[in-house]
Amino acid sequence: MADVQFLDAKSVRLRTTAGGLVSLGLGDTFFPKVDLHLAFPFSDPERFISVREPEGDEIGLIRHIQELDPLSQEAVRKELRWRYYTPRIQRIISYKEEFGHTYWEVETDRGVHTFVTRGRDQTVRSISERRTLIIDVSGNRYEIADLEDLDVRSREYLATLL
Amino acid sequence: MSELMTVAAPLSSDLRDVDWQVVATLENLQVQERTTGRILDEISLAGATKVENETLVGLARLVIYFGHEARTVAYYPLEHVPEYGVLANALTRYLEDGVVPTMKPVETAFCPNCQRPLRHGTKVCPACVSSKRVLRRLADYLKPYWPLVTMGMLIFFALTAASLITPQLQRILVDDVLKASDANLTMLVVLVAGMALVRLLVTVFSILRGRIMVVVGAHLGRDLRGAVFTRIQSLSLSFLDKQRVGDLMNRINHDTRHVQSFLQHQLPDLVTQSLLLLGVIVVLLVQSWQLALLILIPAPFIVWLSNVTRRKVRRMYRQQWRSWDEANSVLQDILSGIRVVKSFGAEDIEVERFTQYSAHYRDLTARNESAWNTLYPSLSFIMGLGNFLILYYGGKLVQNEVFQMGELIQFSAYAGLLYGPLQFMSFIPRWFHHAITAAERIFEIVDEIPAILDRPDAIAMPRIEGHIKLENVTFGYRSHEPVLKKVSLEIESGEMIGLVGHSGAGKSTLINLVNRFYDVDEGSIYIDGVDVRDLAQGDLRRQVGVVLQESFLFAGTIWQNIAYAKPGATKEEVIRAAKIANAHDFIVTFPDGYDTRVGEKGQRLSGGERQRIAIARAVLHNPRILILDEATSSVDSETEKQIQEAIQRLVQNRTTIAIAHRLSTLKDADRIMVLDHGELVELGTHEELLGLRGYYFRLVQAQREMNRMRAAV
Repeated sequence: MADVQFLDAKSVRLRTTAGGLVSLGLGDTFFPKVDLHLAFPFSDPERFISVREPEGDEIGLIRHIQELDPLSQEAVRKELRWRYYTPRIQRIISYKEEFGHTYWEVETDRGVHTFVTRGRDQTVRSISERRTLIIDVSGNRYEIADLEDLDVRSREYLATLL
Repeated sequence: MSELMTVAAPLSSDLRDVDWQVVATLENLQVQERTTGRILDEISLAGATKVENETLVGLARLVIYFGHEARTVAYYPLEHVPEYGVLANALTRYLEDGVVPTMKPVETAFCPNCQRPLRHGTKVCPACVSSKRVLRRLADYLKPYWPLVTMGMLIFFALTAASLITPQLQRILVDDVLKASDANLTMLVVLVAGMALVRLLVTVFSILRGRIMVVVGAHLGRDLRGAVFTRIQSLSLSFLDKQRVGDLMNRINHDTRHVQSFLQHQLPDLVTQSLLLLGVIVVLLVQSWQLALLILIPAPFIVWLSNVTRRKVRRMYRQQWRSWDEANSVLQDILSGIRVVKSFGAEDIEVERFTQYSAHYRDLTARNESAWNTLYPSLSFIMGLGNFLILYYGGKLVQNEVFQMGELIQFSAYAGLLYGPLQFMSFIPRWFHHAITAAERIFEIVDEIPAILDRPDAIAMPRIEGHIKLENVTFGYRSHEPVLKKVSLEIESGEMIGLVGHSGAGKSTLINLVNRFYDVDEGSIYIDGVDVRDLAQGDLRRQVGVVLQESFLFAGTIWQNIAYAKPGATKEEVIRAAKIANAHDFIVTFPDGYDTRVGEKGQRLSGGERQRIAIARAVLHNPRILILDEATSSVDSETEKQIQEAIQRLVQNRTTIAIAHRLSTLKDADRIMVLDHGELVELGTHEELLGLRGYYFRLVQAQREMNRMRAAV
């Protein structure tokens, strides 16, 4: 019970279903819908993937995504892209503080986005020295993959928050 | 089929930004292009069993289940979760029970007017507040003090006039006395005395102004705080639960202080400074409009410059402050965890960590100080440049004998008076807004109507027998998350019911409903055959007693804490109650006995002691219906026995609902109800439920296991 259950990659068949969710075939057992969680979403996004029954027990851990067959890999990557959807900020277009909220307009890898953050604490989170996560009032996430890649003005905006 | 709800769906399945929407009816879900209405996808509800809002990490999706099969309908950013939550819940209820849903309004965290996010627990949008309306209401609060306010206003005028006189006197002094060929000593004395008198008047007026405004401000602050506090006390838990304690404290203390300080300091300053500004400009223009323009034209630039500088400086220091704060938290972290640090031999790592933060702070400080030391003198120099202009042009005017010497002195004195108010003006919008928003937040509470009110024809029930009946009770704190689902149960008068279930199963919620801290969404709760909603709340509360898990003791003596349950209780009654609760013996052995102070600044009591005091409180309260939220905290077996004994005495002759964790309490219960995910899954005696080998059986097994492990340690 208390031991970590690693799934035998050979018997794991993870598939994207017609409904856009993930099913798991594990030997003879079939799970029509499973949830995938990363144990280390920031520091190790390819390893230790927890496969769980919806709102239930852990079925097991996958040691490394590359152990899986290509179709399973594809299904996992697709589902993780959904679960950990995080636009990457490439440029801060404008930044305005008003009434304790900060209004951002940013250029991301998914086009121009606007969002609002509250206060200072908990909204801008350093993941590593150069990687930063910004969380808006609703909980949506934006990532700056490398602070050094931003232009001077964008970095100046951020300087007060970091 | 009529449309149920339309919700924006801004993400495609390959996570592109799109402009789609989900249109829900009772027959199907359609994904449409928002602008054209073109249907992109249509999912029939035929055969569907459940619709769910699944919140992932960075987004959420709407999933529809057909038995085991499931499919995603739409993906959306997290701000849409409340809408989809309401939709999913309504559709699921429809699919399960065929109830045609009445759509409840979605609770939104954004201003309906401008879409700006709102602060937690408030609907006041700082950008949309009508300052006129708020000011008018504030003026209502000022009404009782109108004689003082009028007097204050008159003093403002006097003060401004006095400030404007001095430069005039200076001019006369220079032109008519000092420069005059014959020494006029009387005139000199008169003028100097006049200037001293003006100075004295300014001082006296300032003192008066300060005193009046303090009196008005303090009274107003008290009135506002009182209004908020009174209202909060009368509001139902359903409102208060949505607020954080800190938020409420803020409104009572912080917001009222904001308003008070605005009325007390900033508003008077605003009036005086505006009057002064107006006065100076008029005088300058009258004296020499050319020179006046010379001063006034660069004024906006200088105000702008000092604003920019101030903002920059604020940003610099904010960074410094944050860095200081960080270094401090690291320090606190290390020091409070020093035992861990030492036991892992991690001293060197921690020293290194702290040094890093410290160095960062040092760098910032050095940078900021040198920037400040460059900036400030430069700014002063630039601001002073205007004086040279005046001196040059004014000097020329004197040379050409258009101007007298004294006039020039007077002029530059007035010019000097100009910059104070100008700089002050740039602060005003911010202050003003702060105060208005704070006032609006206060009024928001004052205007809040208690959600749970007695009916006009509420039934008085001086003595409750204690028969409780729940009929199909459904309830959720938020409209899209039912916590209790169709719970039905009848409790006989004098019966003891043990209530078990995992955390989050709805145990505390059930108790909140019996106490009518909330009203049920569907179904009814009857006490002695009367719907609780028809009962007079005062009668209900007086006869329902609660012993909570976190036995809350107010700051005060033990005596006061027990007697809290029954105002006017005699000492003898309190001692008797304590004795029944097995609390008397430990209380009297305290050096201060029943006068021992507890709470924040008082004596520290153990969990077992606090609990027994809470039981004593309940004994004194002598309720007809007792609600027991038993503590999970582990106590030694002797204390456990004492508490158990106290509880047994307490529950006699009353209807008791006990959220129980201890097996011993459960064995004493007449019947036990098991809640799981808001549903009543098992009901019966201890033995019956054990025989079922279901939820209860497993819970008891787990308990025994725990006890065995604890005993082994």
